[in-house]
Amino acid sequence: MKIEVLYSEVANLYGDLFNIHYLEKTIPNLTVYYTSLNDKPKFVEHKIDLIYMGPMMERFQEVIINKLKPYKKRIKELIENDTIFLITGNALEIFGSKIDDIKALGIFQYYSKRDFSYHHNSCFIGEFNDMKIVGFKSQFSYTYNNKNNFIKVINGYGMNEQDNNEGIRYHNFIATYLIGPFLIYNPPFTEYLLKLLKYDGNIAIKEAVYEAYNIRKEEYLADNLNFKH
Amino acid sequence: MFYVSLWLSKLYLFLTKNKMNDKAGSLALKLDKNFYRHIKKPNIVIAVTGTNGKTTTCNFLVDLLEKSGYKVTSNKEGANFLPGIAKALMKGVTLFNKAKVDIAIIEFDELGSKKVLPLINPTYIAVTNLFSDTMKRNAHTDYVFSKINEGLPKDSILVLNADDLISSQLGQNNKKIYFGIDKLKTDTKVNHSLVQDIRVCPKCYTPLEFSYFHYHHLGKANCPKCGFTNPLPKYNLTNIDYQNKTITINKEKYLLVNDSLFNIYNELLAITILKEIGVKNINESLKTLEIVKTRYNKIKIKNIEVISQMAKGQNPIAVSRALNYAKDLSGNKEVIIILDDIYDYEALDRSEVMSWIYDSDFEALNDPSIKKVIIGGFRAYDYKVRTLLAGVAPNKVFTSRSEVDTYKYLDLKKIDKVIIIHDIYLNKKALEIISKIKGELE
Repeated sequence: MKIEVLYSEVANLYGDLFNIHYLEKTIPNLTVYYTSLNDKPKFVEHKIDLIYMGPMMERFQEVIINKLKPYKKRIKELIENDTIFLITGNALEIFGSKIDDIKALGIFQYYSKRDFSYHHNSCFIGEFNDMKIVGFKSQFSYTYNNKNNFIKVINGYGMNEQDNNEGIRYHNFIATYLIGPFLIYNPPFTEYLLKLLKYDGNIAIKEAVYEAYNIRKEEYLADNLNFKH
Repeated sequence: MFYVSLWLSKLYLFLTKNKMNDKAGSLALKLDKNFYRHIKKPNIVIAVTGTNGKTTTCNFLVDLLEKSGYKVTSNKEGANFLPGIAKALMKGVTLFNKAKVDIAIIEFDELGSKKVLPLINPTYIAVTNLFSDTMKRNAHTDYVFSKINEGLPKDSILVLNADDLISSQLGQNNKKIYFGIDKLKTDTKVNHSLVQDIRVCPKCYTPLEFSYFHYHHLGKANCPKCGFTNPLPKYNLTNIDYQNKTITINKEKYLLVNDSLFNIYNELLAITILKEIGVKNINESLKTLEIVKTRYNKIKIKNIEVISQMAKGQNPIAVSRALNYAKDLSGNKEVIIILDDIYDYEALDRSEVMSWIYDSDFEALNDPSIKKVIIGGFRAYDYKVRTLLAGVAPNKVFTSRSEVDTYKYLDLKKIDKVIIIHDIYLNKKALEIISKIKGELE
């Protein structure tokens, strides 16, 4: 099985690369390609099972948009053909139509707006496919006009202050603002992702991640908590 | 209105016997909106900020200057924002607003630069370093860099860390003095830490080539494409002699205060500033310099050394340094970790972001000399997952919802040292654990 991690020298904030380290601990014989800004992405010419990109400082979004622009057609084709993408944090904004006035890849029509005067932090619990999803948000931007919802909000913020849905799901393109790392904090979803990857082994340290997940899930479902502030 | 403000705040300070809070400063600012403009500042104002080490550096500076005979005011008894700084300045003048101190040492928050610096117009602004910090507040280094930069007065001299390719780029138009640590035996060619806040050239985005790392991104690098590299330090630490407890800066020997590189940077910065303002006989003052006991304490109970090391929770660099420090200590050890954000947990609109544990080097705990990792607090289960992912064997990891009860898992007959890594607000719990250990051993 092959995973490509895009631009981890800059898209590496908030411990989110542990999404990949966790998959490495879970799946034996996994090949992970770390593609640097100077490299041609592997997915252009090779079959990759999962393409990952994580959160970054905002100035790198434009750099990455320019790096990926030549491969826009290929990315679209991969998405339509059900290649799995896992995109976390503000990396998802790169695939929309624009970020403020910066023209993004335009693969989806959603757009994002930054506000450096307000740094949003919140906890989150939501639901996807009968699974409870937990996580955190820490960001300067919101995204609007997303048509491909991923997680229904139970408590917390969606893609923006009004949206009741979090993340993007289109074919197997999965993107979310939730950091965590998402896969470690959400073992049921990770098991779902493994099914998509056609891998039938157990997730790593299953008992411990489920214990932490169950405690957090119960805590976040409490009626007296309000993550919207 | 200024004198009313000055006198009443001084009276308040006198009546409340200089409590560790900023109420006198708040009062002064409330009574005179232009308090900062009116208050007489000492001849030299030194402002210190940065992700890690600013409090310790300020404490060093205050102690060393006072031991050298200078009269000093500082905000070390208060917070590092406007009221705390107002209180420090107010303490530095007479009832008739005449400066009665030579120097003010002001710690300021990185995000407060724009509000604080123009009001105090520092002679020197020292920045210890810039790293990933509490993400809830500080987001990332670009954000903090821009926040510091936007407040720098043009006449202030910046004292910057040459080994830090991020903070060394501050203040394009300011005069700058750099301090740095030369290549050391303990350096690595590869960065073994998870976080490295700069990996590509800030000018052309080409991957940087590092010739060595001290820790995280501190070290020496250059860009193979455009030549971007570290500035040259005016104050260059060339040797650390751990045995004889000395450091060498520009060929002069100084006493080593604490053997962690983290604190050696703080000492180097303090010495840099002292040299710049012409302080003599620095070694004489260094002899009796200590790190504040709430931050680091070492006691021997029977045959066991118990070390408490404060590490700001949610700060991946501080926690990584503490974890590595525990690993590097000699002997067999058990490590207690209590780092929860107790205030956030009690809030109904909580906004904890636990991701920082995945930016912290828990891998350091995966060392044969560490016999147990005992984690206390309501987030113990998250830390347990992190510790297991670092490769620590499950039979070595213990959790307890109660911080103090962690001591019950210690196996004091089999070890030489206990290291308690605790958050800034869990100092009391760390002391309770120490007294429980005392009870067990005595």
